[in-house]
Amino acid sequence: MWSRQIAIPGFGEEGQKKLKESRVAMLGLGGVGGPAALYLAAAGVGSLVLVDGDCVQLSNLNRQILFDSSDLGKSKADVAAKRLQQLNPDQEVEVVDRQIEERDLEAILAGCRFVLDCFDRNADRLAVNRVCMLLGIGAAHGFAQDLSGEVFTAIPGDGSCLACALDESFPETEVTAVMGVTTGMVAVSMASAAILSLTGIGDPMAGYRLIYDLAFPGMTRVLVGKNPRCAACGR
Amino acid sequence: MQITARYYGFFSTVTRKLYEPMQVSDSLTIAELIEVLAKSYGYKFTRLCFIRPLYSERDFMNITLNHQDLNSAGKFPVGLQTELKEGDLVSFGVMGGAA
Repeated sequence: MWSRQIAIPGFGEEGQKKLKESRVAMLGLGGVGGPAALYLAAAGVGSLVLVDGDCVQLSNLNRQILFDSSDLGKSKADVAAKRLQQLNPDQEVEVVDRQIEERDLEAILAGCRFVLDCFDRNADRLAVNRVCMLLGIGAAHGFAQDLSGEVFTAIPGDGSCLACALDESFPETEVTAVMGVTTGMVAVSMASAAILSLTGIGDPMAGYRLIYDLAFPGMTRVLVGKNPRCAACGR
Repeated sequence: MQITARYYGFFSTVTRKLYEPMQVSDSLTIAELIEVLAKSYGYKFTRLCFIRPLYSERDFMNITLNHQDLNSAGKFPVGLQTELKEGDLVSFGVMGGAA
């Protein structure tokens, strides 16, 4: 199944083995988490933890391409598990189909080698960041709105973390206007960060804001300096 | 001369536009452009340009010029005093949004 990527110079059987032996948590299975999960399943990540307490709604379908109209009202995590196992039957999938809180994260993320934070709110992202820094797990955090998106990858011990870049004083939106191509682009970038981090190929650019513009196509890298007094990573 | 102001994420919520072509005076600086935009969109626009974590002491500009980070001293040694040129794309984006 993976012959085309095993052929990539520097990736090979060794890279495939690293993916097969990896456990990755998908926090949120919406417009970003769903497509990212598809790419990780297709790449051969051995184990995925699928976390989402929501059910599929009609307004999701412009961007949440893991689902279709026959899934309306069903648990996103359950539908995702079924689709992903159809794609990669060798993969282990664990489903957490309930709303979670910060105190749940440590148990859910135990044993994971990477986390894709596809939550919608900065407060939730910061909670994920705190636990990932505590457990020493790398994470990619995704943001999408209208025709622009952003990815921030944090690797413990390698530059800044999400809490160096933002805090609870940053604005939140209630309903986000967004195009499916935007969440898809962010999903690809996050899945790529996971693959790079898990296999050691390339550089996931930890500590940089990767800002993607689809309206005036281009990508910008913005270095976020490490805050030595950061409560999450500064100790 | 004409430039384009591009608004990502929360900036588009404030301006209710994704972008706008603007006729500006020659050699307008980015600092002066922010003053012009603040007259249209209010103090919140300026605040978003410089928002950073409360406990951080470092300065930070949520601004890029032609997809290059204005915080980069190597590329933009005078930062906000950088003069704009015909056709420039100035983008404003603060971290945030859904997923």
